[in-house]
Amino acid sequence: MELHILSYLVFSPLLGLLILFFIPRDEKELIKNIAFISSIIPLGLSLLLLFMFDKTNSGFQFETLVKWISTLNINYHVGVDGISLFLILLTTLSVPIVILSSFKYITESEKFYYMMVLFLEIAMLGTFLALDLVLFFLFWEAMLIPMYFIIAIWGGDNKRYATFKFVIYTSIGSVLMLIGIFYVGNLAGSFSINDVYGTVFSIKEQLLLFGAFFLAFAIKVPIFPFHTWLPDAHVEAPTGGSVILAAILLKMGAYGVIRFVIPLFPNAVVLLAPLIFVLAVVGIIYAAMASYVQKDLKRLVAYSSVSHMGLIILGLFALSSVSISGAVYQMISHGLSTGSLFLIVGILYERRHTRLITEYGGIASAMPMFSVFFMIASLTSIAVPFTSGFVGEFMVLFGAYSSDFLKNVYEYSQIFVYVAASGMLFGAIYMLWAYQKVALGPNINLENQRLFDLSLREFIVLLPYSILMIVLGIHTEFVVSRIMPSVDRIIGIFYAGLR
Amino acid sequence: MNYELSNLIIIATLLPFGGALLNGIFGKLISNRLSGIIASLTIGVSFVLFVIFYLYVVKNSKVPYVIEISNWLFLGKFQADISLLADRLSIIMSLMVTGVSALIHVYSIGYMEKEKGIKRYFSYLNLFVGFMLVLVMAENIVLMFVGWEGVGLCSYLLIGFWFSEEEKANAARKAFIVNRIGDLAFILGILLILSYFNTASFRLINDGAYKLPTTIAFFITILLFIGATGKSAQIPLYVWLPDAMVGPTPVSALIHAATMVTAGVYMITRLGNLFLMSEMTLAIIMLVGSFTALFSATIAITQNDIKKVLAYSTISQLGFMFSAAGAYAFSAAMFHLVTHAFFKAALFLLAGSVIHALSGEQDINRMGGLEKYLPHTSLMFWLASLTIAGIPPFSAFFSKDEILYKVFINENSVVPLAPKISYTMLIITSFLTALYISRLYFKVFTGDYKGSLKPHESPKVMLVPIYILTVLFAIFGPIGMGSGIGHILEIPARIFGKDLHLVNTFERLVGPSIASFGTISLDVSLEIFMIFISVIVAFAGWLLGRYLYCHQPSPVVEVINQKFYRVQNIIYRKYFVDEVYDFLIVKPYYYISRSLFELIDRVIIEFIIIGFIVKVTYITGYLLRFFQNGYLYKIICVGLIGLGILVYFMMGK
Repeated sequence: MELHILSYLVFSPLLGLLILFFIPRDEKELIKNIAFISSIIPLGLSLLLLFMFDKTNSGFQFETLVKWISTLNINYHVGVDGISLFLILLTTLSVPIVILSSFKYITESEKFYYMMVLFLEIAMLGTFLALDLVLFFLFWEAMLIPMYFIIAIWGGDNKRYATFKFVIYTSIGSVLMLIGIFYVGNLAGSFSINDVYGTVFSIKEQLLLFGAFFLAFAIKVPIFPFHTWLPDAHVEAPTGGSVILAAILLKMGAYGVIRFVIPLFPNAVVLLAPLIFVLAVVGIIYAAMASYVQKDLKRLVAYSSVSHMGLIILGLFALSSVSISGAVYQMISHGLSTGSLFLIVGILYERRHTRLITEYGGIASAMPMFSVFFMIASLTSIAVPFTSGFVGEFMVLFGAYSSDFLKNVYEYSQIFVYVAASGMLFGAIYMLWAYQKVALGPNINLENQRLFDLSLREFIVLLPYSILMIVLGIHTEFVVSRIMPSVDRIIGIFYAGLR
Repeated sequence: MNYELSNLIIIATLLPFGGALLNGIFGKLISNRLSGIIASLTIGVSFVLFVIFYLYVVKNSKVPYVIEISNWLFLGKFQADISLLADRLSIIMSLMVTGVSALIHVYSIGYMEKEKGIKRYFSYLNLFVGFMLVLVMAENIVLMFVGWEGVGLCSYLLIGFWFSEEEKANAARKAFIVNRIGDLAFILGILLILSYFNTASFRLINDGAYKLPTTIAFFITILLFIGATGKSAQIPLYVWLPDAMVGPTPVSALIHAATMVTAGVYMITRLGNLFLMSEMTLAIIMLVGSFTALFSATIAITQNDIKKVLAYSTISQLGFMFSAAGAYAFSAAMFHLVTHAFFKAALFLLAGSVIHALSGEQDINRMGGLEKYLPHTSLMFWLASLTIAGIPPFSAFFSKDEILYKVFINENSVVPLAPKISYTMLIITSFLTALYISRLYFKVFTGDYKGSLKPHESPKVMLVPIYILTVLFAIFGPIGMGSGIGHILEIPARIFGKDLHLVNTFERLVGPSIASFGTISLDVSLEIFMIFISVIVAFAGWLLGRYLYCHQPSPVVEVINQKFYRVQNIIYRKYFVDEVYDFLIVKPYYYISRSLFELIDRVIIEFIIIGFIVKVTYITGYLLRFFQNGYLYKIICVGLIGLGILVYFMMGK
């Protein structure tokens, strides 16, 4: 019997989307409740998927292939492996959290907002699960539409500028990738990933295709120096948008690198790895320094994302089993911690309508529970042991440091690891500074004294991420034992294609 | 080893975490007193479990036990698991940690009684002990790093316990960041170790250490040592510890005197075989340790804040331990670590008792004459002061002499002069130690009381823990008796025809679990001679302090103050190290960050590159618009040009 669980999963948000479509826009409470409840369905399905997932199988599972445009050999083809599995879970977990967190923040055109969030969920799940290049591209581009509306309608004062920048940046990358996809599909005779993986490209082709794919992913990640759209988009986006952007959308780029760039263009990867290391390491340090001088809390968190993503890219291109698995782990951890931090900024913003760090101070005395969550997210962000951040970061650093690939190809590559590790220090500098300026010190401002602590809804919003950050810091086997075989398979394909 | 006993260790290590969770989550439901009792009990039970384990297992066996709890990190060819290593070294250290912690927890019930957020306090304190035990019991270096950063985190939380004061929040952050600098070096050291040994286990690392090339050994050990200078407050990363004194006093006693700050010494001892591979590093450790000892002892003489004096004293005493470690006298280092934990914890708790009695006053110039008001505190303070001064027969006399002797006879082939230089600095430090502690004692407890509030002796719940510590530091010494002292004591025994067989019990005890470097021929007469020197030095320092500060500051003090005002001021301002760091590192970091951000993000990327692309797009669009304005002739014109180009290319083919 064929299981279509993945297709059900991808399109399950459609159910909520359709119901919402028929509900009058003034039924605000009903809309919120339906949006929230319908977002639980994909979560349930993905948990079922996790339960059914066979960890001994490193390849794609639950594959579904339906003929679509047979003349061009484009198919509807989805499947999951250990790498996408947890990104799927992160997505299905984040969407209900985002919906719940938006209940008070979004006060106009709620109906459209929640429809857009559910639409976005379909696109995100599709991107992670698509095993056909064209299908992947469709989902990839589809993400842009709801994200555009979310920032453009419910964004801050400067939203037009931010959306414009976001769309232009992303589209430039996408256009090149589309050309690359057609070239690859044409040469491989199919757009299906199983066929594409075996295709051999000449060095020249590899370099050009690498450029086409990698630019799209680099912008999405974002890798220094393509990062400047991100702080603007984050600052202008509503809380929910920021959370999705940070927790999931940024992971798309890194996911694309593992799924396509590394296995498809191994020689280009080898040739260009030093350049990417330099960008990654510069990004880690530079973004951490930039974080330290931000006045806007949200912008600070946005730059911290750039810094962390630099480490993830370093892990991916170090091409050892441990470093890539660590990078995937760090992708999840970063989703949890940065997602949390954006929720936290949102909670503050809902109360005080400002994100300026100087406006706060000493709020731990007014909001003790809030400060505990803030602390947990900050600690995960700066990779304190027994948080998921440490596991990911340590695996990346050690994996990169001991990577045979790196040692064999570039003699002095370990220097990159030394420099990257210092992100641990620079991260602590800005994060603890921000925490202190917001939560500690005397609570002088009258408005801050009147702040009330978390409501039950906000507590429920923050709890899952926080629990996971600690659980994944101590119990890693469950996740790593599922990621690693698939990573090894990708590395195997990489080496097989290497000439 | 049977199953139940290994469970004991797991329970003993995890209990403090349980206490922390209990107080952290259900704190609202219980009374302040109960919260303190629960916290103290968890640590007390943990201590008892370690005692049982010690008596039934470790005492009779030299074999280390590995107790696996759970797997943790998968690092390719090997794993770093959550496993504990129970050997004599770790169990003795755990006994000290839990024992002293339990006493300080009980003391805290009295000291923190009137504070808000007491449950948060006990929750953090329990959490600290939990992480400290993880650090001590860790079977592998990555798990040790968990404890290492974990105790740093708790230290951060507890220094900033009164977080609504900016100064305290700043001190907490400074402690964390400075520690993180050390931790960064530590983690790089760990990366090197893991990639060279392909294991994280301490035993395998120590077993395989002899294969390591000297250069690699040097890099690894120096990185680990930099890590240790952060946690154990040695030059150049000591600057956080004096500031950390703004935390509650029991915290200073527990974390910043007895336990956490000794982690560096413990780590070096744990990896003894590895450190033996690099004599260069050992020399550096020895010199840095003894220079730190001297340097901070000079500062301790000039400080007027009772806790600051003790803080610099702690840094100085830690310097002694590092000097011993550098002379690969790991047993001596560990012994001083234990005695220091007892007497320094006692000193801090007594200082807390004084501060408590004076409702928060910490300036020793506004104290004086307290022996009348605080008889118990005063008596114990006197004993503790004699101990730290190195006056026999108290414990520090034994432990310090052992260090001085071991440093003196040490031979370092890379830096031959290091042991002698180090010894000289340490003997001067011994003198200064006796001087600053007698200054402190006499200024606080003798003379006239200069405050206005009437001091009151502390309650029993605070005094009893100090009494227990006092007994410990007073009588603990002979356990680690060096051969010289043993020899002296043999003489009267011989007269009565008895053979005492006095040996260094402590060294015998921990010996099997630590590294040693062959047997060093002991010269008993030299050792006896050196004991005399250090006893004379100790008494000289103490008596000088007594002469200068007993009852009334002597007129000599006034003269010194006037003549050496400038020198004194430099020392009093701690040699301006904080200011230098601020000027050289802290401020530049901010300004560099600021200008880099403005330059790269704002100017280069946004303005120049993006601006250029926007301009090009705009101009192209502008030019193209010229052809698209709806006039038929222009459209035809463009069409013809296009056709022409097309035809040209087709012809060309």
